[in-house]
Amino acid sequence: MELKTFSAVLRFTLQLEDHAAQFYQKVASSDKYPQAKQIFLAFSENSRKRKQTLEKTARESVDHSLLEPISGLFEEHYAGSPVLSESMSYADVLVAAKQLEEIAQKFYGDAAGKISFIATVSRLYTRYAQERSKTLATLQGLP
Amino acid sequence: MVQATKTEARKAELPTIKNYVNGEWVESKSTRTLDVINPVTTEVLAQVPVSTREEVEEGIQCAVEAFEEWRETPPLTRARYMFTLKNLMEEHFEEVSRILVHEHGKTIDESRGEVRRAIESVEHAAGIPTLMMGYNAEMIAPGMDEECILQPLGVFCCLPPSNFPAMIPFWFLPYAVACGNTYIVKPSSEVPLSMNKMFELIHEADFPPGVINLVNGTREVADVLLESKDVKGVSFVGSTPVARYVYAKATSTGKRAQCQGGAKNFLLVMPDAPLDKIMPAIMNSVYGCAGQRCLAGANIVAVGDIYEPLKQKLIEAAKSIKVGNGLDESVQMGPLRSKQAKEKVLSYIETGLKEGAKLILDGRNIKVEGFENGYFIGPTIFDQVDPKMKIGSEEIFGPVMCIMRAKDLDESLDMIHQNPHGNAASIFTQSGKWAREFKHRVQAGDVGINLGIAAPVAFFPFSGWKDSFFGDLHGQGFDAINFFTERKVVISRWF
Repeated sequence: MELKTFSAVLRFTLQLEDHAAQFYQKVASSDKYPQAKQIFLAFSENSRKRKQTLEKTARESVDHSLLEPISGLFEEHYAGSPVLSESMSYADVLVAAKQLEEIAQKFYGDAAGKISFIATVSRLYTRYAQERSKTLATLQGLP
Repeated sequence: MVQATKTEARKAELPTIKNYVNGEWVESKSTRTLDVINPVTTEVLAQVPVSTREEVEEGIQCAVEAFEEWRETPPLTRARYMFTLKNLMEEHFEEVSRILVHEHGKTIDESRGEVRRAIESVEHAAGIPTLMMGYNAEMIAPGMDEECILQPLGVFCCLPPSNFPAMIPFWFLPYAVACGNTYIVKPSSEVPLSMNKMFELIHEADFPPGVINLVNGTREVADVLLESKDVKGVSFVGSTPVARYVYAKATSTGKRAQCQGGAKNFLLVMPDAPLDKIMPAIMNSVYGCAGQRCLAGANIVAVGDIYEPLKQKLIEAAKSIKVGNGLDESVQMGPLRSKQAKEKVLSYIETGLKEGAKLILDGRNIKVEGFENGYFIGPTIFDQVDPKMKIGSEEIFGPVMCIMRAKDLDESLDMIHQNPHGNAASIFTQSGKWAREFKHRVQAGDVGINLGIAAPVAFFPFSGWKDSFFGDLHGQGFDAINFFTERKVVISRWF
């Protein structure tokens, strides 16, 4: 589905953050993966904070006179966010988490350019793309 | 007969909007009510009363009585009420936005953007302790000082239009009240629900009784306010003929008046404009809020040889706009506000055809699945429009774009200046020279450079010119402070 409005982009972003928060929370609270409990808890908390900040910033920045139609941003290009399952090993979890971060990073980067008419939120997307890139780097460094 | 009884029974179940007078919700005694209709579903949402003369006069009297104490309330305390109101508006942001979609039909994005602008004015007015400062000069003569102080005047009222029911009253109300005046809002009878909700928040903010009041109704209610000697000023936004009427009537009883009228806004596209970059701004300008904005771009002037590529891009972009129910976040344009509004726009399209303009995108037969009875018209484009044609010179107030051609900037400016309106105008160019010349010479009050909607933020005046404004001081910004205060000069000497 094409994300053609500011609120459609925002809604999809919040879903991505919700999904990430839940994924990391479940990993952190599972006894199967004690290796990086604290780090996954922190990732989950980061997603929750990003969601909160996004909601507030979008609400405070939306302006009827600045809104513009959006084209060329499709939900399906950012599909495939992994879901935690019982059978996953720690190595599988790391692969899934990296995939999740890659998707989020790409989405934030692409969407930032599409919503440049609400510059405050667009800048936040650029920042979050960088944050997700750092998270990815952290995951890659995990044993 | 059975049908009539059913209709009556259904109406009896609908909520009837109340007035808010002297800090209380009051049911109107009027037997006359009007339907508030959702333009997407055509469902009747509520009934709005046409308040009686006595009810309006009672509202005015309460505001008069509340004024004496309110003007004695220190500006900082008045500002605190604004902070409280701002917080409540933030808390109920989504609720008010959704009410707006239901009553007006605009998209949820547009509604949120409207509520944001309303909040912005409250935030600005919260700065009243400094905004309302006067000035002084020591030693205007030996041993003598002079100062100018700003004082409130009394009761003001607002007669807003139907296109921005939540935002436009807030171009005036927060400033009037923060300055120490008392206030009466008469919302548009077509769209009273969002203002009703705002008054619930005003009630919760616990303003002293009588400081802010709401009376519902139509023109008759407005006339009572305009005729009253106790009302010191009026802020009006609507069509040019009504703005002229309100201005004449208000000033005939010695009131201050700021009356914003209609518009016919030109967007000039210069030969060097980057078409891909400017297309989204033009689309929002022409089709945002289904063209029902006094800042909407209506006439697109292709300057020089950009005409052909511009026309193709405009058609392509307009065709891709998704029309539908504004609550669906994928929708980019909603319906016209009412059946009458739709009929008026359709009649302009007919007129355009008769005048010889070329209809290159026809939105008349649009079908919106699930909402077949909604008041929709799709994006429409006329080409080869002469600025003297009715469709090129009058405000259509709908999603209709008129494409015109001009050989250069001079000819484009002539086109703009021949139009009686002067609300807004924009230029799209990469040339600083053209942009500067346009800014300097154009006879319009709100000017955009590479912007489709030149909507002033709360701390700048909303500056229509010519037949788009009657009065001296505009809404918002320092103009608002000046409009809602009287100057008093004090010269002092001490022995």
